Amino acid sequence: MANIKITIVAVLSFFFIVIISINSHNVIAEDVLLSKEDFFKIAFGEDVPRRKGLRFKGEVKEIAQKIMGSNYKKLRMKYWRQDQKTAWILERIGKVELITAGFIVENCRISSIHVLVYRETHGWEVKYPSFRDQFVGISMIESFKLNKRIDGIAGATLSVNSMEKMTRLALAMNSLVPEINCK
Amino acid sequence: MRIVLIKYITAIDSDSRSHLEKGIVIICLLYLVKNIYKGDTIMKKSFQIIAFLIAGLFAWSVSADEVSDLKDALADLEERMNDLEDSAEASGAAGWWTKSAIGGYGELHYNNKSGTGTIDFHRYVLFFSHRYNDSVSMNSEFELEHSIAGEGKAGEVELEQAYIDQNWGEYGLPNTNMKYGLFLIPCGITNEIHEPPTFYGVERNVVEKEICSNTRWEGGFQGTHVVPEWDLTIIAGVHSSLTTSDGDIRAGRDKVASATMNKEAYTGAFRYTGAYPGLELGLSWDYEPDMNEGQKGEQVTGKMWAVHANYMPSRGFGSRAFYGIWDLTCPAANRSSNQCIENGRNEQWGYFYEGSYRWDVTETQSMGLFVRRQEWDDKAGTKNATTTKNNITLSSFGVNWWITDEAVVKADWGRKKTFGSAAVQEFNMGMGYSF
Repeated sequence: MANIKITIVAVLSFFFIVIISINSHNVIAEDVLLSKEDFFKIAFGEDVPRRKGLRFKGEVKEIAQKIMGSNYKKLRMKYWRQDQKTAWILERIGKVELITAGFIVENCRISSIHVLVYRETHGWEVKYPSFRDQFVGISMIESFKLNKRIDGIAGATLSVNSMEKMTRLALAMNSLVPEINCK
Repeated sequence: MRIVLIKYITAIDSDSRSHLEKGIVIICLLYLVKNIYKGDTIMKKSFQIIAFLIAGLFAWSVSADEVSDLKDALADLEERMNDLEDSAEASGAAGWWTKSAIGGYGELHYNNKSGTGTIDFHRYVLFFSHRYNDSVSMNSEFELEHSIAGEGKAGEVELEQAYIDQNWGEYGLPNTNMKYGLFLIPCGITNEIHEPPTFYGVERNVVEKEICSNTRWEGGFQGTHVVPEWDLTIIAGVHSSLTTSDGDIRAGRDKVASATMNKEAYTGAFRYTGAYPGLELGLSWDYEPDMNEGQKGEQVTGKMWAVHANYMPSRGFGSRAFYGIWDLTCPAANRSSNQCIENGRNEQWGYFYEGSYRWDVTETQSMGLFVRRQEWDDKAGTKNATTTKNNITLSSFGVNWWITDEAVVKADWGRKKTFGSAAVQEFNMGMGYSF
């Protein structure tokens, strides 16, 4: 009986090692859920516009720091625009690690949000479609707040908070893009 | 004048154009235009128009070349600017302290049971974590309970978590993390998530304390796999076991402190969040092949199932519910070394449900009210003549005041009724924080 058990364990271990070594060439460091290229495909299809930027000074700086904190510094707020649609790739620390997320804004409302890289060891709930679906259609109200409260599961609060702040930033910056009309 | 002008335009190549030259060409063209309508004969007029067109053509092609050059130069400049920006904004090489983090939580409790009061700094916890690289990190939790630890003292110093966490994305398995070390068991809601600002009531609920033996940690391996498309998290682990001589689950925690390990145990959970945004539904299970003290001789096998629902939005109505059961196989032949066959602990159950409402007080402060009903019996199985039911109910209500989202002051009132005894009133007050 013991011999059979040992054999089974040995065989399973062997297959496990084989699978790992076959897949080792697919180096997926941290947890890249969606590549930038795929994100742009979702936003713009095959016709990805050129990267533009809002200079980080004056109104742009003031509003960005109001939302993200006074330590938030950039040279430019980079974005990609096609007609009244803009795409933003933003980062913010969840609890300990950076979360990289993509935001697609159309006609001054959130079209969709995407978690590109998630590095935390907890709070995976922000990866779920059911969490991200809450953001669809959200727009901004006064003081650059969202017109809807965002919630996650208890335990994902800090990651949820970060996603909420980045959403506010994307909407606020979108309204400052010269070609966009949010009235 | 016109002939000189045309010769001039064709002789000079586009590379040596200057603004001054361009200006001269434009002035000459304007002169030509002006003179076209002054011409006496049709011949003169035609010649002037042709001259005008030829001059215009060359001037235009010159401008087109220059604009194209400028465009190329601009595109190149833009690209260089982008590269410069990216490198300026990216953080440079960072010291070890940027990859390490500390955190923690703590809570002070005042408990009054039927007029007798006690005050206790129940827990002071520090988290230390360190990220080695994109795939591997270390997480640990160090705790001091009841302020003073030592011989004859009320407190304990404990290691509640200490593990290496590895993301298996580099092995071709994304959304999969493996813990090696000492970790929390994924039972119910509060065994893993119990920072004071995350629950109502000064003390954690008793049902999960009994059924999930909060706080329970074990040593071994635990894998977590997330399936984002299905809104699902799957946890499974193999690790050290509970050991008990009488079926008391909570007393069976060995806390990985030079503990007996002759037989491993298996726990796991499914957590699903796709039913409704913010609602988590969970199923936890625990299989302990041998829970007998020392794990020698006849085996005492334990199986646990629990389900829970957790809906706690940061404002508005919230709710929690939990139901769990233990089923211990207690051999009659083991009577001398293990009492669980005759003290009723071979069947144990517990459930609670709770409703709450949280609202804004200021922009950063909020308050919440809750009501909770708990009921459990840890001796619900076969009994001997002297052992009775141990059915306990605890009804409570209270208030949490979040001074910030991570610092909270609490108060609650409860009525606890044990089978066969009179009801006991209790009042609790406390503060808690996490960071």
